[in-house]
Amino acid sequence: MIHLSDVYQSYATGTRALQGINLRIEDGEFVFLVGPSGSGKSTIIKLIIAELLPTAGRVTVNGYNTTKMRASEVPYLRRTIGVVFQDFRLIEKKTVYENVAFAMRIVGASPQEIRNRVAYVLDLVGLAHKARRKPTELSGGEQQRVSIARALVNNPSLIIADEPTGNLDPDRSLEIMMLLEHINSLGTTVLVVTHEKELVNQFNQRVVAIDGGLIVSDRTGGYYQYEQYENRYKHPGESTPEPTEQPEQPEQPEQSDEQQA
Amino acid sequence: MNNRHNFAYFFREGVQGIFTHGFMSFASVSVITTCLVLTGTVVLLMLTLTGTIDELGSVGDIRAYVDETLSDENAAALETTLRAIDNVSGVDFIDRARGLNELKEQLGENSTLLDGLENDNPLRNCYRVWVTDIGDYQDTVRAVENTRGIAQVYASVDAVSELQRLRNILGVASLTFVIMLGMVSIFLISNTIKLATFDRREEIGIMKIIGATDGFVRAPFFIESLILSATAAVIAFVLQWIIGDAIVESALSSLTFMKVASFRDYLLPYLGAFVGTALIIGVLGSLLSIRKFLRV
Repeated sequence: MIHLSDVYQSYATGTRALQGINLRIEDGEFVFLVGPSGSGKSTIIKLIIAELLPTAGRVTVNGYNTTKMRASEVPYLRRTIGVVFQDFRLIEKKTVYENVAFAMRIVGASPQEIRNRVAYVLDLVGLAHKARRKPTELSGGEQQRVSIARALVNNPSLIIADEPTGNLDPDRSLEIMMLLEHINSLGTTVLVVTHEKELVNQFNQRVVAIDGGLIVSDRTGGYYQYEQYENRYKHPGESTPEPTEQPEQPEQPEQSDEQQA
Repeated sequence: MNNRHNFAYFFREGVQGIFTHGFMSFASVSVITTCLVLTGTVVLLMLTLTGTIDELGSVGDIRAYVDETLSDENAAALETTLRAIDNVSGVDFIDRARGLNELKEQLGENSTLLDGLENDNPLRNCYRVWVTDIGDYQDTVRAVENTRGIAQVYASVDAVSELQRLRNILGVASLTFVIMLGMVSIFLISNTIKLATFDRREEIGIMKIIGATDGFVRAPFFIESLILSATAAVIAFVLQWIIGDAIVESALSSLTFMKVASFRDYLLPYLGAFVGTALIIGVLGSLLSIRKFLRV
């Protein structure tokens, strides 16, 4: 579970990245976090994985209060989260198998556990037959699936995908998103950061829109909600939105047919 | 973290890192080896020079002439008193007859000039006294002068104090050189290791994001540095042995007045110093260099 309560974030440069964010994501949810560049999406990700501490407010992730925990506890919080990056961040000198196994070595898993679990997740992402290849020998979509396998291998309760389809063509993007949705159906909370409107609109999931460091929309069922906000509040020439009222409280996300099943 | 499962991984990664970053590994070993050999050679030269000065100091032995009023037996008995003086390393009694013979030897062909003096020897009984530490030469001369039964003392106090001064200057110069070389070594090594870790900053970043502890990230680097440092120490030791034998001994031994310090006399101290210094510099350099990349 992720809970951001009255979170403000300012940088040394004077930039106010977040201006009082309240966001709650329950276990098992699938959430898209959308918004334009510089809206504060990446800052939220950094706060969740404790790469940043909030200037004010409280961030609680999987039972860890990041503002109160010791630095030595950060790795243990991160082990409850699987992170998927836009640029994959695979270690090029290691094979696909080693890239995934590496994440299990970090938690001190035995060689037997590593063999069993890595084989399972590579099969899940459809790359069992490419286990001995190096990342550079794979396509972008395949590299992203390795990255997802690595994020999954320690069985985290939360997966954060930061622009996971940013470097992929539309077909591969849809594949990756469907894979994430499948992972979510197995019980893992998934938070996808993206600005790909068409892709988001193909899924009937909760969409949290952020702009100018504020949550401007939190609804289930597509990116169009954010467009409505844009039409209403954003006028030509304005770079920062100034909503006249606090955004509506997040509604409980509607479960997809697959999840309900 | 289960270290039992991870140790083999750390070791494998450490060894792999050496070969993956071949040039940087070679550079690290070369820098550590060069600095150790340079420092070791300077120390060996310093030992040679100070040893030679000490040897030269023994030329300036003390000659103590015995009071003529003492009988030959009483004069010979003074040896015990002189030996009891601090810093005296040796005493040789030269009675009048031996003194005359030595004088004849020095005169060589002209020794006939001394013919007939055997029955009316004008020389005094005398002692040659050697000191242990020329640093205390003046005090020792004073103590011999104050010995009852000694009438007169000849000692090359000025020459010895000049040698002593030279030895002190050499000692300070050598120490300064060793310290400067040590500082240069640390600078070069930390830069070399920084380059190696900079090359792996992305890998370290990935490790940290997926939940690696600082210890887990450091371990392969630590093992890699340990292996590189130990290798450098062994290579430096072998090179120092060759240099010590071939260059120092053969070149300087032709200068017969020099007391050449042999590397073989200091094998264990050198091995200990090389391994200890290399490990400290290598491992500390590695751990300090990686620190800033751990802040993720």
